[in-house]
Amino acid sequence: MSTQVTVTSQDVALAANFLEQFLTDQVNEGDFTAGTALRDLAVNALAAVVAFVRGDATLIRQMQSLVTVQQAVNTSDPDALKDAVTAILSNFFIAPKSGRKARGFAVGHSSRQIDIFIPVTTKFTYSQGLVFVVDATDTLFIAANQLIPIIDADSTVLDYEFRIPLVASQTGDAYNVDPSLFSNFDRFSPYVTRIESTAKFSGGLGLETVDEILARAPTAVSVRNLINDRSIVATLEDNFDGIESILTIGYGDPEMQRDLVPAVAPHLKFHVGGMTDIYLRMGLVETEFVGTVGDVFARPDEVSVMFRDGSQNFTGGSPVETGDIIHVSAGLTTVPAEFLIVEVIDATTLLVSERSPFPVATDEANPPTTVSYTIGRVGPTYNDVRAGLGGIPLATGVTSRQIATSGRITMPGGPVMDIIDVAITDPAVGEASFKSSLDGFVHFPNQVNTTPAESATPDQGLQFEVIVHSPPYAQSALQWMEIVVGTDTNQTRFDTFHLRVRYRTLAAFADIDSFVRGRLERVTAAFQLPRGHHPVDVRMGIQYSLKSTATTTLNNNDVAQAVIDFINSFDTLAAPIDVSAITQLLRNTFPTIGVVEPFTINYDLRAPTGEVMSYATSDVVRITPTKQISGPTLDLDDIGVTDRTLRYIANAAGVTVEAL
Amino acid sequence: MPSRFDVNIQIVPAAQYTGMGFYSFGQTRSLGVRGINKLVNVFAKRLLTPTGTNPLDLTEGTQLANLIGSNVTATDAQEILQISVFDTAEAIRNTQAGRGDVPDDERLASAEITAFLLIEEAPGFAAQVQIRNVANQGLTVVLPTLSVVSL
Repeated sequence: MSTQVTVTSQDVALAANFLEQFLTDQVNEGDFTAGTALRDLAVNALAAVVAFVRGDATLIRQMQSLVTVQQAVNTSDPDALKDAVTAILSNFFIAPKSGRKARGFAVGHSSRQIDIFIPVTTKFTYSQGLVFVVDATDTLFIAANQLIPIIDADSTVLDYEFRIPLVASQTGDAYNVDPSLFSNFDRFSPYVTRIESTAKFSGGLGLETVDEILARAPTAVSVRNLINDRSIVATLEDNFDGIESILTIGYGDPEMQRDLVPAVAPHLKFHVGGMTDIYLRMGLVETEFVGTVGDVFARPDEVSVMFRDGSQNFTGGSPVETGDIIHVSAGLTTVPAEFLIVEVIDATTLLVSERSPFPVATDEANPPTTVSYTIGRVGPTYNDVRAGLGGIPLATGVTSRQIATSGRITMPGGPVMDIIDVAITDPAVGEASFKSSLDGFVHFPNQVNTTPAESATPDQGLQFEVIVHSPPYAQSALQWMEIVVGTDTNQTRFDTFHLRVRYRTLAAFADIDSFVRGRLERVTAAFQLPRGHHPVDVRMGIQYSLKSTATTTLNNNDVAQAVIDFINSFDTLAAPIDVSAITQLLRNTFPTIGVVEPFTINYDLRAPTGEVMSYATSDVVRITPTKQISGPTLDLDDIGVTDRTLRYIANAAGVTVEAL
Repeated sequence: MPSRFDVNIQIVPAAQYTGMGFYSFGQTRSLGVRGINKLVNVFAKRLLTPTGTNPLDLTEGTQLANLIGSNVTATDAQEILQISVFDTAEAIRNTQAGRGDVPDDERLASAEITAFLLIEEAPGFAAQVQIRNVANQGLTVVLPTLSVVSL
């Protein structure tokens, strides 16, 4: 930090006057007036020093206050100002954030379909100074069968594509690079010919600026735990980089739905409190999940409601029915305990009510344990439907959160802000007509709100459905989201095949979730849940004409990216997005644009239920029934969706730009 | 109000000159001074301060001290002395003007060169300046031999 004490002749004169007065008071008989030798010796000799000390004291006072620090520091030196601000805020335990690294996927092209190994030291240079490395902790292995053949019109394989997760070598928003060919990369395979990105990298954030530090300063003086808005903001922003904003929803907020206790009486619900939703606005990062359709998945919401006993046949003999009671007499922490059966899944599997789930999943214990149980309808013994000889308990019951449903996969917990692609990567031979000629996968381009139709043709495209079983927990780590590809008349059509879901989520969300819900930081008397906002996917097609004076054409990708960035960073709490704002953005950003044709904005709300509600407007983007064009009619207020909990997002697939 | 003391500046006996320094704050200890002697002190200090050597007031002083070791003629040196005495008197009057706390015996009335003695063999000169205060007291400032040849 460089600071400068400026001493003017006026300052020296003032100091001299001060010294004269002081010395005259102290040495009453001395003459310290101008012209005397005493003044030369005792005043003038010291006046400059005193003036400097007074100036230094003034400077120190200024540097202790955020109000005056800019006066104290040479503001043409931003580093000095930042150092000064940091020094002040360090008194309140605030330190500037170091930034965040951008992430994204690059596409590699190989001339042969072979296994690929990419060491973590491999450097991928986008352009001079912008270097990326593999986003992995160990050597990245890409199996040969994951290399997708690229085929031309003559059915000739041109080359093979594979995706590489990359992370920037440094922090900074300069690494949020647009789609382009990488200029260079360390040779990790002799068959890899080029590396390119097809989607913009995201998440890169530079060192925190003075303005950003000051913006969070008001929450500095607060307790460092997660008990109210101020402290939640302060604690999370202190511990994690890249948080753009935080919305805390608690007791009494209209969006709070998790603390509702229903069934006290018919149609009556009580807010009992004790819940806090922490909506995080952060950068989006692309990720993917591959699951086997119909396989067993653990419910991300950690609720154990599955009951299995491989030695029993619940559907034979005297069949177990919905409404029966499982009476557990041993094997759980609290026994005896009763659980209400809400569904008989199959001969060995039962589903109990989520209102009273099993406290533990015994199949996840190490080693796995069992419970002793009976099933019945007559209390208090409940052993009239299933029990051992003489009504004694059966000792082979297993509680579980693992569930398997034909035609579906369960997504991992965490926000799913938009789904970019759903595809079977190893389709059956019988699905040849649905195979993509580009990558050989069977894609599901259409999201629907009902069970996918078996009748979908290759031209129409296959359908998939998204089901979120726990809407109050949507867009959180406890979200139980299923992707359904089994069709209405052939639920097992894609069972045992690998379904890949490419989607965007929040960067570093898992770390924050672990922090908030971990035993060390959690508020012991509350259930706090980090969440993503409810996403609204914005789409539009823009046509424009250049001015007659324009000398060069525009890159339409750049124009589209400007719109995408505008939407993704838009704060809809202040004002809604509208068509005129986008038109004005284009004219301001690209002055050679003359006319922007009228266009319609289509936007889809991904509701907490997993359903898609579609809207269209030619003016203001709002989630209102008058603008809805398809999808279910949901009472959004009842599922916690308001303007505050919405986030508008766009991507390159949804924003198209054309020059007329 | 009784007048206040300044530090006395005394002329050094000729045998104890150090270079051309002939004024000192005292041979054994600092002495307080007031009245006409204090006025003479103020006058002598200002007269002998080379212009530009006080960083807090670059206009203070005269060119007289610059004569020492210079190569001006004795005649020119006399003119410079006259100008310096005049300027010094003006500066002191300006400083004292409007100040009611300056007693009469310390308030300058006039300053005149009463003797100017050319010393051809040096070459140089010696001079006496008569200082008078408003109380009509007078005292002479003695300027011992000032050589005007580069040493």
